[in-house]
Amino acid sequence: MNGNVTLSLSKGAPLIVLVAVLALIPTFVHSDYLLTLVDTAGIYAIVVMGLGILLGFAGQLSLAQAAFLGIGAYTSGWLTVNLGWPVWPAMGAAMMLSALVGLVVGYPCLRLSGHYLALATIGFGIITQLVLINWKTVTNGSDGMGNIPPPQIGSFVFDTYGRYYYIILVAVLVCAYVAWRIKTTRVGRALEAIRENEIAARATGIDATRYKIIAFVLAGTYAGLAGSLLAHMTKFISPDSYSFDQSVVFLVMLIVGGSASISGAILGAVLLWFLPEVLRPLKTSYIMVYGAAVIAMIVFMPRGLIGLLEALRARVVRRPPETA
Amino acid sequence: MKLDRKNFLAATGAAAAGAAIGFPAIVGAAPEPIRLGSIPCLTGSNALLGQQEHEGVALAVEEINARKDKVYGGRPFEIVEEDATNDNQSAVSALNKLLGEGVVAVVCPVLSTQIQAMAPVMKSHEIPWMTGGTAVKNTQLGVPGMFRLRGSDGITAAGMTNFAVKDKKGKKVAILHASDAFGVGGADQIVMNLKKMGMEPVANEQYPKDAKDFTAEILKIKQSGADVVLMYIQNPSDTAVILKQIHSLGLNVPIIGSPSLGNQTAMEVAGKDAYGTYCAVDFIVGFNSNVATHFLTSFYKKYHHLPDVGTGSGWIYDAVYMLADTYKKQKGTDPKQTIASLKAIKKWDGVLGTFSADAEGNMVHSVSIGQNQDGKLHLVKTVSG
Amino acid sequence: MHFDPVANMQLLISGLAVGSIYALVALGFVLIYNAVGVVNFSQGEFVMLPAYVAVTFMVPAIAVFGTIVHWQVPVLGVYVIVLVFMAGFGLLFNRIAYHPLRDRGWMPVVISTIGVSIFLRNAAQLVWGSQPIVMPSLFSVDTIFLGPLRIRPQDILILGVTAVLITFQFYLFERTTLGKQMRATAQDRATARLVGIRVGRIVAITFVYSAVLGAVSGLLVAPLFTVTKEMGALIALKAFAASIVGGFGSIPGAIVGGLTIGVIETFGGFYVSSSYVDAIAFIILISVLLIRPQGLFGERVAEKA
Repeated sequence: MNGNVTLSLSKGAPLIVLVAVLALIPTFVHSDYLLTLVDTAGIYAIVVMGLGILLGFAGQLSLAQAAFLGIGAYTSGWLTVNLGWPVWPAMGAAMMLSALVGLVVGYPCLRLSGHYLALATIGFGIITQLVLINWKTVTNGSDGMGNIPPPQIGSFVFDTYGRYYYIILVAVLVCAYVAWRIKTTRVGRALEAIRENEIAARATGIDATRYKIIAFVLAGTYAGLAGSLLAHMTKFISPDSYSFDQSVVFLVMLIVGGSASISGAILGAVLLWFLPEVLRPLKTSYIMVYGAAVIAMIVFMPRGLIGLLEALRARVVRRPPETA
Repeated sequence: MKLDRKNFLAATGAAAAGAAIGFPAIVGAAPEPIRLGSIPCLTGSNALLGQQEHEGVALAVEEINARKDKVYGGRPFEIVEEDATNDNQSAVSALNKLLGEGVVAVVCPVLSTQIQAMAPVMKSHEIPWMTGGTAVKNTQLGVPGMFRLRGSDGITAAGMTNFAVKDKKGKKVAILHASDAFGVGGADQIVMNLKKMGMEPVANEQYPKDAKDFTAEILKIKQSGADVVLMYIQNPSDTAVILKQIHSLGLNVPIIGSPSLGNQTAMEVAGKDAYGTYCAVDFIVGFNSNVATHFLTSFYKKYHHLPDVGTGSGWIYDAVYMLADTYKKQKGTDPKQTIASLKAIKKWDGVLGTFSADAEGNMVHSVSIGQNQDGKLHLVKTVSG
Repeated sequence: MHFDPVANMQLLISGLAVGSIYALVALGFVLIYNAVGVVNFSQGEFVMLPAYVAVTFMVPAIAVFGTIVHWQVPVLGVYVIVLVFMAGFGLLFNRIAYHPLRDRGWMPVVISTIGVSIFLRNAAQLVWGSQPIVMPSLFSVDTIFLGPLRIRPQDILILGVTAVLITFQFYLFERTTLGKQMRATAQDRATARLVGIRVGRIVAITFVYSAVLGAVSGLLVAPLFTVTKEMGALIALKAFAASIVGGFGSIPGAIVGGLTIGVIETFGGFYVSSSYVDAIAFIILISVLLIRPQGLFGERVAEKA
């Protein structure tokens, strides 16, 4: 994939500038309101990037990201609140448990495809939420789990949105890098082949099921990490946040941003998290506008915003657009 | 419809700037408005509650601003309202947005999970926070400015259980509750109260969210031989359907419910299936109080429907008036001072009754048991917590 | 827990009634899937919307866009209005949510139907407010006594109407030209076009039929509980599960699947645990998917491209 390597070299400089600008945001943004938005958007970007690996790269529709978000959040929350674990190992444990659950659930389910897989993941998501609500001894049920501690390094505690921003920024960058590495290596190519035509891919010797499971586990792990980050930022979690509707939100974010693209995932998450906030002045009609906007974006921008931007750039630069 | 965000923001920014510059110039030195924050859940599955909260606040503010002195010294209330939606994250965002706009106090929410999600933020903002959530834990979270203007589940459940066992002579008590925090919390409190009396429930049924059919739960209760049923349910829709099914499945025992059974919407929707049921409420129609009567008539005049006093509009109306009275006495809105004054309240008369604050910020310590007689609630007895 | 025949009979009837609703919704959903290969995530709103339209014309006074209107019409008129409205809605849905996306594969359409679902649920709140609305019952009695059994007349109506519709469905597909054309289109659109079937028209008719089925479901189910904007959501999910259990793409499968889930759910809620009732439907779903993905009646496992 020489094209991608060249791209990264020429993208290198602007990327560094972008990261530098992002790193400086908390120094000139002081509003807690905006920082909460940015922090949450970043966390959701991680979830959507995970979904992007599964859906964008491999073409497998899963509606269970919210379930993994919940598993990550509650694992991390439970370990730190009930067993007194420090936050960082708890986050690691959250990721590992999410990965494990992803493996256990993925192994049987990913033999299915298309709508069957989607429905199986919906079922898994609903069952997970029911467990979170009803397993009161562990999760505290509908009452929710509070007093979740913020992470700290030495005596530096990450208990303001500004400080937490840095953790999220690092997490987003690492997740994006990992996703990019996957995309540009053999695994990514295998996933793409599976997405385009699974039967043909199998015919060329690709163990489709194995790769699909890997993608599913990765998606779950990303969401688990995000869940853990969310828990230690908001310090209170409750089962109603991990619903099927929430999984749908993540799906819409990915599609709107551009499913096969990592920057699309991030852009979709940020945009669709900010959109309802921007529409607040519309009061109760905002969510209708939101629904209508989603339909419009699907109809008019099939490859998401990234697809649109690339098409525009191609027209400007007079080069054929990338088939991402 | 494509919402071009840049243009929209630019236009809004220009308009706001223009208003900010122009307004004081036009009006001159007008008395500075007192900014009051409100976060009802206007969209999402609890939109009904949000609408009631919105109406209660709007009515109170309108009445206060119509007074000659307004709140005090001619200063009016200015409501800054944000939609908490249904999602904890959005609720916290809404709160942060409000706080960034210089509000001196916050009223709402009534959902305990939202309150608990917002608590970490409010811990670092010591301003009066008037809430309506009933989970016992709320006032134990260590938020300095939090006040609860409704009876907690502890008080409500104790009242219900007492009435069931002592007054209705119940020996086999069954519980039916929702799976949300409210239902589960209430049921737990009931079980605790029964234990204090040396009893255990013969059935403790929880129905899942969005359930449409309650045959299984009701039949199980019937089979347990229960002679009284305690219901802890917040959703008026569910309440109405359950009562209908209880009636049609022939479960003919006294029913005592949480405040939502006395909720105007629930009573209207359930119709005659609710006749004869009891509920524990913060407030009862017809209760002799000038404040309450005035509230009811003004509310009806403005909105053309009766208010949902206990769970929705009443407590919030009281919250706004309570703040207004305190600001008037102090002739100022200093948050710390206000919190101290509110904590010192010993006998403040509102729509819901007489409020007096305890150390944790709880303001309601008694509950009334009412009976639905032909669609209207009648007071049966009062229980102090 | 002792085995009580009366209670069990009661549970069976309730279960079949709830199951019939799932069956009808699943049927509407499978028809669309068969015709155009699309999973319609807004099928629940096909039930919610007609329920709202019905109460608007059934009750003496109702708030529309905040103002109280009195548009009460005799019951028969209401049914006509609702059916016509939903037929029109089916056409509109086809035009806006499906037709522009028909060549773009199944996923954009799925997303589009999700968008429709979000839009409709909140449009309903905007138009009718957040207050739950009661649809008046057709019957003057609440309970019919059959020996020791207490049955809701509405349950009997549901079972009756569902039986009629299933018979009609069978007749339509097996005995009429239109039905055969619909089946041909569902099987293989390219070939159908080749033999002269006007596929676009058939697709539109399918959407209309599905919407009308939704109208019937909404009218049947609304008197049992209140009309709210969320009333369709969980029903739709369980209907999806039902259609998988019955065999994806199979019409008798959708019906049997719906009834099965309704009955197992109701009995499960009684004998096992009410809290996990929703889980039951999905555990069944996942088990079926893993053990016998073609469901009870399905022939094909491969998904449509």
